[in-house]
Amino acid sequence: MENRTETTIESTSPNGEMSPPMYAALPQRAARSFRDILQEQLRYRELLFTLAWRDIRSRYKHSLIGIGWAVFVPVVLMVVFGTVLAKVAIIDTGDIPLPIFIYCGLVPWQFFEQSVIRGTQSLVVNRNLVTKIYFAREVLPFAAILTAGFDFLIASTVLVAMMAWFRIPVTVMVLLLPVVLLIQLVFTAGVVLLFSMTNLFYRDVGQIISVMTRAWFFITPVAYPIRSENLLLRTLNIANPMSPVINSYRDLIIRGQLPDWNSLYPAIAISLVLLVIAWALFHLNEFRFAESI
Amino acid sequence: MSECSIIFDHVGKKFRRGERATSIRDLIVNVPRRLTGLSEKRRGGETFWALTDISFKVNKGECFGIVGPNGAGKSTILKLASNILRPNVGKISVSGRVSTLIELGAGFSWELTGYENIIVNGAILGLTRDEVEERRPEIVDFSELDHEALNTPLKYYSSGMFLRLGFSVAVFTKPDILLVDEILAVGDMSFRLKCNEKMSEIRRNGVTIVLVSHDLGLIRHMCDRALALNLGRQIGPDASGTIVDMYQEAVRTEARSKLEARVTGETARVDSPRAKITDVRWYNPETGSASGVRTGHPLVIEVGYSCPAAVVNPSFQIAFADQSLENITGCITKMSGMEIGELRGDGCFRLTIPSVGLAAGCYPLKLTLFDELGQICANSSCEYVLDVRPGKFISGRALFYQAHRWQHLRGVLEDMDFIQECPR
Repeated sequence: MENRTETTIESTSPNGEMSPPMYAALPQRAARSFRDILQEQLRYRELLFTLAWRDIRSRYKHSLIGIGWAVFVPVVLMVVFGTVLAKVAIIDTGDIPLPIFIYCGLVPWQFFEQSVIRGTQSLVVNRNLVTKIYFAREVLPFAAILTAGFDFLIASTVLVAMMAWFRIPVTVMVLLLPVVLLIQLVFTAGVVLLFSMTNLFYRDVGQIISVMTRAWFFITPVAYPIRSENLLLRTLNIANPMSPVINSYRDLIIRGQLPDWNSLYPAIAISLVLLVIAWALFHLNEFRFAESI
Repeated sequence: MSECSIIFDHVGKKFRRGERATSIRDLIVNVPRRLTGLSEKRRGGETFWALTDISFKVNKGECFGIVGPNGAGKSTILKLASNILRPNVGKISVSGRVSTLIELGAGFSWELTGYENIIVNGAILGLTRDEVEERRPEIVDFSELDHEALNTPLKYYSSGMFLRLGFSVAVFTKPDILLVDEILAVGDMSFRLKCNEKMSEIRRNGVTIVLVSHDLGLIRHMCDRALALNLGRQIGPDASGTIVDMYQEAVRTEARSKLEARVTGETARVDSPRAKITDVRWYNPETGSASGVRTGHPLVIEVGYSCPAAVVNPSFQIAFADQSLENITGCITKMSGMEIGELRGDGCFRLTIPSVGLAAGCYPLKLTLFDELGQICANSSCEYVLDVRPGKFISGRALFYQAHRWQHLRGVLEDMDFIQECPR
């Protein structure tokens, strides 16, 4: 209740003249300190959870199988890829059964893809909130990530069941899962912040991402391992943080071994740099959201 | 300075006009233009100042009104004060927890129940979940929705129920500063009264309120001071009564000039070959002058007509409209029990009002002659504007004047007789 705030918004020419200047005034980059931004995030965390809760609840409330959809989609995709891919190509998954190999990649991939798709639209869909009420704008794209994260958790339960079925032992390596998940979250947050903002200004982004996520899927070892000597594919594998992240999930959960740190370092670096740049851009443009949306 | 909740210091806000590049194709097309520097000029043409040089202070605990025609920048001020928009020039400082009632039910989800939406809306308006839980009984009570309705998904709500729920959550946010944008006209009459009462209560509790409304009566009644906006420029701030008077005067002048323009175009007028309104005049029979028309004083309106062909069994209506040209009240011959057999040639309708009930202001007249079947034969809409000047005292906040007489008697009420007739 007692969060009194003193906000002063200052612009480029503090002593305004009677008549507006003829030149176009520079946009006011009301740069806020990193601490302010973080404090604001904390202040709006309740809103973040409530919005995620709203989206999850309203999505599943009036559907027949409800939460089952979170499981249904990856399971069906697993069956399709498992049967079709095994027919058209030889997939060398080592000693891992193909279904669990695919499912273990699909679940985190779906989390990423859904976060990006929902997150990109999050500002535009909540237009009335953005134009009518003040709150930390990041809440909307972040809530989209949380919403997708809920599906991720539900779908993960099937993975646990599959591991029991295929008698794959759980090792201590599972304790490292939060690290990989954190890398994925950082990367996802960066992508989502960037896309939600650009989509607000240029609606093309919404169209592009549906194609882009599909292409992205194929260059990521989700349904099959990518062990190519092709230079392009190898470069993409390094530049695409989702590749080592998905591989690491398999290492930790199924293979019970340490992830390939050498491939994870670039992923960590890319994710962090992207998040910082995206967040900074988001804040620099935030003040134009309400008038441009 | 600590007394001030909101300070606007020479604030200007610029908006884009017209289509802007919202697709990458447009952006690419614009690149050469930007590079050649042509864009600066073009951009200058594409923007306009929604607000120019706005300066005012809102004191703590004050109720501050903003009036002005549509598009004058009223909502922009609220959005600037709530940090949704940022100014292009000038400085704004706001101290205290701000809650904006710009849109009711923001963030409501159609799939969720009323109860669930209270939580969502509360969070959006800045309440924590505990605070929402704590205030839920009050919110539910205020909304007048029963338990069953609140357990129903919002998609089955009527728009009235929706707005009632939205308003109820909004008023229980307990902010330091409340920014209200034209939302008090919610629901049915009784709920509207309740809303107004609630606003007064919030005000008494020392909350600073900035109120944007077209309801000038409300501004006059609720606000201590007010600001009028016209085309992004400010008039005032001053005492709300003064501003409202000034604004009404400005509106009247503008309505006048607009009406005059319209009259030359003959658009506000319907004449049929059968009948035509020739002339209208009004006066106070006591003084004989049009400028003597005052609240609580008598008024005579005379409307001359000319009927080349006979109109059988007609009825005639004089309606009084408000600034938004909506009828406030009207007098119809047929409804007053007056039978007119036939109209032919020239004549005049005379309406005598013993005591003008309208508050001081400016009222466009709508004069209509109907034939037997209710078809319009002749009509003059807002061509004439009646000026009512302040007359008998009506408590400053009243919207209309009641003809009345006071008496004071001693004794026990039960023993007194009813009076037999109402004295004029």
